[in-house]
Amino acid sequence: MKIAMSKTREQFPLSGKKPLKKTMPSIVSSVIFFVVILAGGLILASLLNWSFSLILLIIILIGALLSLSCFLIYQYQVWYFQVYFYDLTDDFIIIRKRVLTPMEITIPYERIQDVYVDQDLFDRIFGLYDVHLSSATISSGMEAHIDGVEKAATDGLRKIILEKVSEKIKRAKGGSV
Amino acid sequence: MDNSNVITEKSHPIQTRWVIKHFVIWGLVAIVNFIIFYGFYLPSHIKHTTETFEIFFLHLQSIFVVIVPIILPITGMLIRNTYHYEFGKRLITLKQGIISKSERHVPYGRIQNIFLTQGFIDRLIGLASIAIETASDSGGAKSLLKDKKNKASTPGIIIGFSSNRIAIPGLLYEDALNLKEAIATFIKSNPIDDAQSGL
Repeated sequence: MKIAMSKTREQFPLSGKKPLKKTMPSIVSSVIFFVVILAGGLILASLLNWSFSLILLIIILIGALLSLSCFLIYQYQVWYFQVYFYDLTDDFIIIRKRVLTPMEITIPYERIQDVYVDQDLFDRIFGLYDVHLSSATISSGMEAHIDGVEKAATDGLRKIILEKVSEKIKRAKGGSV
Repeated sequence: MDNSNVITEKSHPIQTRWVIKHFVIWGLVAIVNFIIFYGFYLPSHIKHTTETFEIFFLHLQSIFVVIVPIILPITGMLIRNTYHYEFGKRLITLKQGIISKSERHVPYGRIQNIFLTQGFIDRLIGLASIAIETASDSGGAKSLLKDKKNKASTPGIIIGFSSNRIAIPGLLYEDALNLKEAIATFIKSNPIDDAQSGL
């Protein structure tokens, strides 16, 4: 599938590591789950004299299912990554995302309250950043963020957004005086 | 834009299929409820009770379950038909209400953001929804304080306007795109002059 490109995304691209990063929580929990099952199964088998080969077969089956689900989640995240669209046009910021139930938010620059950048644990491991830009409403705070960009792109995005916002505000003020 | 192509509920109508979809889903929920009630709950329960009052109460409940799927679509159509919106040059004029009416005027400069969303079923039947948010009253941090439990779920109302949100669901996809573009143009041509931004 084609990647949803915009001028902004060309200039400040999403990192290719993003799908993997978003799959990490499921990978980690699968691994932990698998280890627990493996240890528990082997201990139980040795305590209760169950046949080891049967227990191992079941555990391997569970492992295969877990890896399959992780793979499917990864594929979904790749798809998500491909349809992720953000564009800084002259007057508005447009962010569009989600695969099955697409949603698009349009914010005028004058309405941006703050731009803030954060990282969670996996973001730090992968060296990614989330750029949040919200207006004065709660739902915009929840929806309007560009996540999974690298350092250079983060700085670029932040700089260009802040510049545009102050330019817009200045122009609006000048108009009224 | 001249007067002939002002966007109103007539030029960009909420589609009947959206009303049917939205309110029939609740009707279906009621029917499932009905089946569970008559198929499983009632047979196992009625054996043990001989109290007239309790039997009367059970029947009252079943009448309610039958009436809900009929009432809901009618209410839905009424809500849709009494919801008027007009995107004028300087203001959005909105009217809603079946019994208690309300009217609202929103200047374009006060719009915080525009949402264009498509639910899964909406996508299958070619519809999209628009939501416009301002920063009035309970939209901001205030509603977080008021309602700590629901702080993560603020999709707000689905049809009509309340607190800081104006929702126009069930538009044809092209109409929704068209409306979004029109609002964007209006925001551009009605700049705010006092710069209320936090920066």
